[in-house]
Order: sequence, then C-alpha cells, then structure tokens
Amino acid sequence: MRTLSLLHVTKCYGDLTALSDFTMRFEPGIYGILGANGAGKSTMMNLITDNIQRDEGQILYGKRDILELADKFRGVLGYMPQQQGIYEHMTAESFVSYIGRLKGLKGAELREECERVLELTNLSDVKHKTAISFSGGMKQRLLLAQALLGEPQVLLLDEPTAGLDPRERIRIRNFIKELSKDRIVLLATHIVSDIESIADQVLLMKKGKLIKTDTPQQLIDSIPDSWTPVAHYVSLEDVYLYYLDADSEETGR
Amino acid sequence: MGEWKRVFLNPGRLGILLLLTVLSGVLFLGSLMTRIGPGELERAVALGAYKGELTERYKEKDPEEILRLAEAEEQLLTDVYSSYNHFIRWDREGNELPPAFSDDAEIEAAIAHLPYLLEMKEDPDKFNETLWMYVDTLHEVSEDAEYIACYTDYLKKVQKQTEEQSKTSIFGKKNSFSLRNLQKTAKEFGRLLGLNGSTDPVEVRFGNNTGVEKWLDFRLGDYFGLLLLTIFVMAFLEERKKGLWSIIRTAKGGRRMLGIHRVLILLTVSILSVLLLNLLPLALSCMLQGGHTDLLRPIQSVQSFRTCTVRCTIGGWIALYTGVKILSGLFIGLFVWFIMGSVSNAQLSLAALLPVLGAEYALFTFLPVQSIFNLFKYLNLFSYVHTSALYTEYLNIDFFGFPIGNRQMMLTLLPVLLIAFTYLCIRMQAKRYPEGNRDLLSRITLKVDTVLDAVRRRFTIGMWEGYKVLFLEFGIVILAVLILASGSLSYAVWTMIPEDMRTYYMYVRDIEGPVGSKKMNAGTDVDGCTADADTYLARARENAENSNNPFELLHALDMLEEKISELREKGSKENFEPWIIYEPDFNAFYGEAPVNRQRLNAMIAILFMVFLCVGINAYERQSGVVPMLRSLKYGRAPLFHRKLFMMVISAVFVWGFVWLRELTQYISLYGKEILDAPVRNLSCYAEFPFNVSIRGFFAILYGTRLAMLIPVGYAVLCLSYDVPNVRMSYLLGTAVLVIPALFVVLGLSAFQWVSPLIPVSSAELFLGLGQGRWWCIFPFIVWLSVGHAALKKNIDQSL
Repeated sequence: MRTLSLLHVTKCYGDLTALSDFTMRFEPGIYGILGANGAGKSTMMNLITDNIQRDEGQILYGKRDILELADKFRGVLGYMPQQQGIYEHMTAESFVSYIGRLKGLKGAELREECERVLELTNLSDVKHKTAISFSGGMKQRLLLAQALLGEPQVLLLDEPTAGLDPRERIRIRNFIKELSKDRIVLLATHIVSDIESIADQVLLMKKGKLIKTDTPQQLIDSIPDSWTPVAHYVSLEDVYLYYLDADSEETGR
Repeated sequence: MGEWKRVFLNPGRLGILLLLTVLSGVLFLGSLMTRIGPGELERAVALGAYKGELTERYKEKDPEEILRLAEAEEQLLTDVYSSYNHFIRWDREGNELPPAFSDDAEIEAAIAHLPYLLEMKEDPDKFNETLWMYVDTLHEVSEDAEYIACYTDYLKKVQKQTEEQSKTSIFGKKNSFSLRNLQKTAKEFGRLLGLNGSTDPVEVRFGNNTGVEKWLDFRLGDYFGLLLLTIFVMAFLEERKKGLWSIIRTAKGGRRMLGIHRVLILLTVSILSVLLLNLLPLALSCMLQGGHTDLLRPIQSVQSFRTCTVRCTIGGWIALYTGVKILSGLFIGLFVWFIMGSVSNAQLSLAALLPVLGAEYALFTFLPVQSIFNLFKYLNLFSYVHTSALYTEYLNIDFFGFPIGNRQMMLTLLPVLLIAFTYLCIRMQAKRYPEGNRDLLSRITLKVDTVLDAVRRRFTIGMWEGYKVLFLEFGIVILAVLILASGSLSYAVWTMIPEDMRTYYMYVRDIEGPVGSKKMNAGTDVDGCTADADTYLARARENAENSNNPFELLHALDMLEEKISELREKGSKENFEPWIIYEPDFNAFYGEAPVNRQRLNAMIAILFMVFLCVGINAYERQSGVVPMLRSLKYGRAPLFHRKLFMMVISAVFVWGFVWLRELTQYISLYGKEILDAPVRNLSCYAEFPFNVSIRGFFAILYGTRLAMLIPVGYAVLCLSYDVPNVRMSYLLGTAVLVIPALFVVLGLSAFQWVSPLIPVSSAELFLGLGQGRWWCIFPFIVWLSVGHAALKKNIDQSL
C-alpha cells in the first residue's frame, strides 16, 4: 500500500505563510485535521490536489512526486472541496456520471459506480432531480458522492459533514470509517466529534504549522489535570481549545 | 421603497436598460442607412435634409406641380451624371453630342443646392452612388405627392367598391359577415369623406413624413420593450431563486402590498420602455429625417396611415400611441409575470414563458389573414407589442357573423385585461404558497430528466462538453438566433456600371470563358455557334458596322480587344490561362464595394463566437467546480482538449452560417463554370501571390476566415477564464472583441489595430494582396500572434 508524504512543504501568499515547512507521512487510515480558520487545512488539500503551486518541499505518493505522477496520482484521488461547487442545472445522476467520466470510468462500471455512490449518500430517490432544487445537506452529499466514485486510494474530504442532519452525519461517518481500512483519508472539519469517533490520528494545525499529531485518546490524555474541561469530562474539544485556542499561547497553557 | 430600490438600482438591470436604449438608438440609426459603413449616417442625414428641403419648397404647391418640379430636378441630376462621367453620346450620323454641362464649374453650379453631393465630387464612385440616392429621394417625394393627389379618390373608390360588391350574390347575402363588413368599412371610410354630415372631410396635406415613416418601419424597439419587461419581471422571482420566498411572505408588507408595488413598478418600466425604446428613436428620426414641424396635418397624410379611420393629427396620434403603448406595456408585463410566477420553481419560469411567447408569435406571424381562426392572430399578445399596427392596418374580424374592428377590439379589451391581470398578479403575490416541485411543469421536467438521464449516462467527456455548451450555457438558443440572423445577412453590393461601359460589359458577358478556347460560350449572339475570342471579335465587328449604332459598339469592341491582348500577354508571362470574366458579378461579392458588408458580417461572426464560447470556461467558474475538476484524472489536459474541440466546432458553425452562405449564394447566382478561371484574370486580384484558380482562391479565402475565427475562440476562452461568472464573461468578451469591431464597422479605423475584424473578414486583405500590397498581411500576423498568446495562456491556465 502506497503512502502519501509531505516533506517540508511551504506555501506563502505574499507575506502570509499559509503552510510552513510541513512534514507528515500518511499511511492508510483516517487523519482528522483540526485547526481554526486560516490554519492551512484547505491549503494543504489544495497542494495535494495541485490546485495551487507549492513554494518549497515535496509531496510524494509512494516514492514519486505527485507532480511527476500527474494523471496517475489524480487517478487514485477523491476530493470533496469545502465550497459547494456543483453544476446546479444537472441532475444528481448526470453530475456523478459526468465526474465519473472525468475519472476515467466507462460503461457498466460507470453506471454501477454512480448507483453505488448515490445509494451510499442516500440520493437514489432524488437522482433525477436537478441539484438546484437540493438543500445544502443534499448538495453536500452529492459532493461526497462524486469524491467516492472509483474507490479512490487517497480521499481528501474538506468539511464533509457540514450541513448534514445528525442521522446523515453518523451514516456518512460510519461509512468513512469503513472506507479507511485500505486507503488514506484526510478529513478536515470543524465538527470535532466526527474526528473523535472515527479518526485514527489527529493533526492539530495552527498558522500553517503542524503543532501536534497523535491518536485522539493520546491527545486527550496529554491535557494536564489542571485544565477545566468544557463538559464534565475531557474530550477532543478540550484538546482543540487547549492547543489551538489563541489565548492558550499567551497564558502558557 | 425598498422594493423599488432593489429593482431599479440593481447595476445589472440598469446596465441592461442602458444597453437596450443605446442598442435601440444605434440599430435605428443603422436602419436609416442604405448600408453600414463609414460616412453612411452622414449620407442618410444629408438625404433626409434634402427631402425636408424639397418638402418645404413644394409644400404650398398642388400635387401636379410637385410632380412636374420633381421630374425637372431628376432631369438635372441625370444630366449632371452624364456630364460628370464624360459619357460620349453619338447621334445617328456618328457625331458626338455635346454634354449638358461642359465643365466642372457648370456641374458645381448645377448642384450648388446639394452641398453633400458637391463634397463627394472628388470620389467618382461615391459621387455616382450618392447622386442616384438623391434621385431615389425625388421618387419618394413624387410618390408622396401622388398619394396626396389620389387620397380622396381612394376613399371614394372604397365607397364605390362596397356599393358594387354589396350588389353581388357572394358579398351581398343578407345578414352575412361579408355584407356587414362591407357596410362597416363603407361607414368608417365614409366618415373620413364627411359623408355622415357631422364632420368635414379629412384634408390630407403634402409634407415631410420621413421621420414618422422610417420610425414606423423600425420594430426592434417593440421587441426590446418586451425583453426589458421580462427582465424586470424576473427580478420579482429572484426571491424564489435565492430561497427568500418564505421570508418575504412572512414580512409585513410581503404579500398584497408588495404585489401592488410590483404592478406600479411594471407601469414605471413600461413608461421607461416607451420613452427610451420607442419615443427616443422617433425623436432621433424626426431630428435627422425631418417632419417634426409638420405634425399638425391629419394622420392620413402619412402613407402608412392610408387605412387609418381615426381622425386626428400626426402629433395627436403620437400622444395617443404613447398612452396606448404604455398601457399595453403594463399588460405585457403583467401577462409575463403571471405566466412566470405560476411556476413555483424559479428555474423553470422562463421555460414556461418561452413556449407561450413562441406560440403567440407563431400565431401572430404565420396564421393567414383569411384563416377562420384569424381571431387568434389579432387577439394576441403581439398585437399589444406592435401597437402601431393597430392604426396602420385596417381589419374587421368575423365574430359570429359580426365584423369587429381589430383596433376597436384590442383597445376595448385592454382595460379589461389590465384589471383582470392586475387582480390575478396581486392575488398570486398574496396567496401563492412557496411550495416546491408540485406544479405540473416541475413534474413533467422530472419525468423528462428521468428519461434523459438514461441517455446522458452514456455521454463521453466530449459529449458532456457539447451538452454543457448547448443546453446549460444556452448555446442552442444562440445557435437558433445565429441561424435566423444568418438568413438576413447580405453579402453582395452591386455597383452601377458606368453608361459608357455597359456595351463593353454586354460583350464581356457574351464571351465569358477561356480566351482562345472552343470551350468559350461566346458567339451565340453573333452567329449562333461557339467560337474563340478572335473569331468572335471579327464577327462582332462586322455586325457592329452594319448596326444603327456602330460607333458605340466599335468603341466597346476596341476595349474588349485591348483587354484580351492584355490578358494573353499576362497569361503567357505568368503561366496561367487567360479568361474573360464578367467582373461586376464577382466584384459585387469579392471586390472593393462589399468590403464594408464583409466587415459587418465579420463583426456578426465575432459576436456569435463570443456568445457561443464564453460559457465554456466561465460556466465552470461560476459553478465553483474548478478545484474539483482539476483534481480528477481527466480533468485537465483531456477536458481542455474537449473544450478546444467545442470551441472549434462553434467556429465551424459560425463560419458555416455566416460565410459559407456567401459562397453558396455566389455559386447559385453565377454557377460553377467560372471557378476554373485563374484568379489573376480578375483586375482586382491581378497580383495575387498564388497562381491559383478562383476555386483555389475561395479555398484560401474561406479557409483563412475559419482559421482567423479560431484565435477569436482562444481569446474568448482566455478572457472568460479569470472572470467569476458567465454574465461578466459576456460583458468582457463583448467589450474586448465586439465593441472595437463595431467601431471599425462604423468607420473608426483606429480600432482596427485592437480588433480581429480585418483578419476575420479577410476580404480586404486578399484584395490588398491581389493588388500587390503585401504589407496587408501584417494584421494577419498580429492577430495570429495574439491568438497564439491566448492559446498559450489557456494551456497554462488549464493544465
């Protein structure tokens, strides 16, 4: 099974450093990426998808750089962007068929894959409706459906459960968990409970830097006893607040 | 006030209002010109002023006197034409006849009252062309005078005809529509004659009607009005599109009061539409063509109102028209709002309106007047769109055997319809629930999409791109407009053959074909058999010497002989077969005269390229799918190649509809025989760099035009890549590519350096090459470089 490695990757927008000397090796499993707005989560995803150019460093899939692999790497990639970019005048089925084609699927395989991902995301009943009539949650599921097409080896999910109702969120979460057995899943979200329940490892990012990475439980355990938890027990939300809250630096927590 | 501000201060809508106003004005000015090109508006204004001056001069005279004076003026102009062109005429004895004006000074004195024509004196082509336009203006004045002279007779003739027809068995059947129609017509026209005793007969008077007549011919303003009203109605549906319908309905003034405001907004839009799109062109027309001082004559003094039975002055009619037009506009707005608002799904509202408008238009345009269903032709939305026709066309409709005047019917119905639709629209605004997907149209769409999805899932990437261009980016509508518009494109400009060349060209027409070959279709007029050029010339000379007019014929044959020997010499030197070609036909399509026509057509080709291609990139950006597509295996180079392919296909369509029609028109008019002739036989292509036949020349010309359209596509793709939405793309593409082209067409030649117009038109470049001006290739090189840079940028952006 191939790994995805980011080695000393840096990306700046003018004076602003969006990602600074970022190094991480991803093996099959779910990686929850936590960070405030502007922490560099989406920048990292955009660098992996080569939607923006990196300034320094290397991104390797296996042993080769993804820029060198180009189409071959994109062939194993599934990407669900944060923004709800959809062809709204296409029906759900048309949209996934179109994306399926661009992923290189054809004939019966394409048809079966489309049916599978629409079923998985609970959109089968509305697959002949145009996306413009969809609610925010339905659009989110459609975006997830297209990312899942072709069983990608590397799955980048930027806020996949935003806007979903609890039942849908749990369903999708469980599904992602199942997927992760033999592939790399990078999950960026603000919904800490999603990560807590499914992530094998959590990456805490702040101002473009990776400040800590560990399993959810070990991160929770790393919080000192003096910390007053948000709820009655210490959870990943406390980890978020402890490590990433702006005040924490100043107070020296 | 919030709704008023939202609707009227929206930059997009304000922009469209401004654009339609400017477009309506520009197109109206265009309609005044004989053709589009530099100096044409000035000429149209000069001719309008001439007509105004003639009308003023002849105003107080009786029609017979006017006809006599116009005839004398025409003779003067014809004499100027002959003298200016130094035409030689011979009498029967072969003596040269003296010219009417012996020198330039005399010609200048004769046309001193026509300063514009005088200005053209240094340019023979323009002078001759303009002179004949002055003659045409004189004909119009004569026609007006004749109309005035015969109007009372016309009214009397109507009375007499109805009297006679009512006695026949077909029309005179008691209680029939025909008899009632005859009686009604006689009564209404009788009132104009003063036969009812209570009114005086209408006294039509000679005057300048050009302003009103030209404006009546301009119908685009009416369609722009319909478009403007529809755009403002769409503003009322924005809340549905943006998911705000429920919020608006729960607001205090979001139901009935909002409905009332919206009706008043439509009334305001209707007033604006009439002022800017109808009355502004009328004011322009009267200003440029005259007639604004003659508004107190009876409306029947204008020929178009021959059958108008309303008694009022021209000025009174304009006031009446304005009022009716404003109310009609309000009704159209309400009708459109009602149809679009009846569909819950805002995306389908336009889809609901278009078939209704299409059906109404088809009935209005194509239903024959004699049809038993002609009620649907006149009781039609488009009767309110073209309000002026209610006054210029007299018609009684059979309503269960009773004749009802079309105008009376539509004007009586107008207040009823206004009240009914105002009620319906306000009720719709107040009562309709924001429920989704429950109306019939949405259910039908779902069924259609279910079927189409089975087809679409088989699409390849290329087919998907085609589908997006045609259906999601409305390419199919643009193509339909292109097909319709291309039907009205014209290509040829025939110039008048000078009088002293007519005999020469008669011989040329007769022997058109290869010189010295038996293939020549010559000689049939001479002795009924085919012959080579020398034999033909010998026999033609013999015949000429025995004719009544030997001097003119022999002079023409001398010219022909000279031409043949010139071609033989050139042909042997440059190694091509000499042909005699009837050049006026070829030049009408590919010579100097149609250069402006070619430019106009090139501008239309550029416009359609922009409109067909802007969506290819911009639609992706607007939908926000670019990052996702770029992360897919085939989302970069393969997708980009399909986009380029779609752009090339669009270029081929545009090229086919705009340019190939020119070729087919030429061939259908003049046949294929001439295509074998080497192009260097033609005077205007004598120095053409390639020694090819006309067929080869066409291949190069049309190939170049297609090749030059493709960089336009590159430029459009490049421009639309960095623009956030399709609307902005349209604006940018139009501003960068179409507007400079329009300026070039209108004669602002400085813009040719920033416009692809000259390379796309290609005609004048080839003409330049044909006359040895090799530097004409320069704009090609510039444009190809721009195209190359655009392609490179496209590649960088997309990969």
